[in-house]
Amino acid sequence: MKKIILPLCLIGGLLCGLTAMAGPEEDRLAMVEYYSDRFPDVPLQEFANGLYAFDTIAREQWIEMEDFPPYEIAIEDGQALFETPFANGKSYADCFENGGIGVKQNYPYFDTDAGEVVTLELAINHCREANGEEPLLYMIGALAEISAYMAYTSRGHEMAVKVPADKPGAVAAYAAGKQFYYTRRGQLNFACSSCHIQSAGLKLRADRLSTTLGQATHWPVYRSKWGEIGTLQKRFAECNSQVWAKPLEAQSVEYRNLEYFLSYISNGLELNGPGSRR
Amino acid sequence: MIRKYAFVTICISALAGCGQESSDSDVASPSDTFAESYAAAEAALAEAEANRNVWSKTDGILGQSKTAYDEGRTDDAIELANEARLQAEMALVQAISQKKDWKANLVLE
Repeated sequence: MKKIILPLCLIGGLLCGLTAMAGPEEDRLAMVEYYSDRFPDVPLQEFANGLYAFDTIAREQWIEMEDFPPYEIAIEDGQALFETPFANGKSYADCFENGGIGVKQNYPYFDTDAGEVVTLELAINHCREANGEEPLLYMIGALAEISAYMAYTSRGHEMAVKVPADKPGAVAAYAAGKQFYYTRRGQLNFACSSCHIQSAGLKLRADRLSTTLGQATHWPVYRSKWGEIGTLQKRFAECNSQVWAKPLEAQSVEYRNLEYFLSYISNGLELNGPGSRR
Repeated sequence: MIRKYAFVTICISALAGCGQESSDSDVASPSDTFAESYAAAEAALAEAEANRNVWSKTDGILGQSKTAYDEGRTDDAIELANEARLQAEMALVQAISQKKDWKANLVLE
């Protein structure tokens, strides 16, 4: 394999950034270059719209749907939940910087004290538990609605996930998430990269496969298939099921590391959640 | 139905084995009694779980094995338990081999 990679790096440099030893920024730049070359007519920010960046017919339907977006109710319900005080009188605003408004671009982050990746959904439940409330389900329902509201307040902010090079735990978590993305699993033996890098833009049944770049910007998402709003990790579980792999637990270490990797790859793209998908 | 599971698993297992260094010695022989086969399947499934890679059909097949046994269909129960064990063992082979082979998927084309 090294005999193949080295000459390719010398010739084009296209593949050099995305090696096992490359850091997050090298990975991100390699992804940007790869997809820019593969989809030369797609402006960079458009990758945040997933398959609608290059599926013309699906895009038309999606734009029409955005006139009366199906996630609107989730935003309203989420705002009401967000603004309702806990039994002890405190609220979600007390747990987040800037009162929880316009902060989603900073998630996930690596908590060096706890030694783990903290996603926005995990932080929401941490807030609840710190204030004597029961945690919410991670994939759907009230927590997804609160996340939808917080995502809405963060629209337009550029993804700004940090993987500090001087924090070995953060670097390891990013690397683990990257490894997960490229690891084949399930009875169908697919990796995430099989669809979203090697086959991005191609059709899988009725839909085109989205790119890795931009995958993390628009969550949570109202999927017509679900009939409700759901979190990114619900989609992880669903994707794993689709390759005949038993899904891992929501907010498991593996899924949080995966979200950390995916979110960093989308750094610089404007958040556009919550989103809608078929 | 049982033969379909076995055929599909063998075909996909052949694909899963491409490029990997697993050998026949990684997969044990089928067991002859329900108790042995079921216990072996449970043990294999536990090991796959510990390696965080279980195929989605495996739990269901093991459940069908128990149901078949409870209904007096012992031969079916053994065959299903052995199928579940095979799946769990293949998932374990996949998880172990992918710990190094994942790097082969890094080359963008």
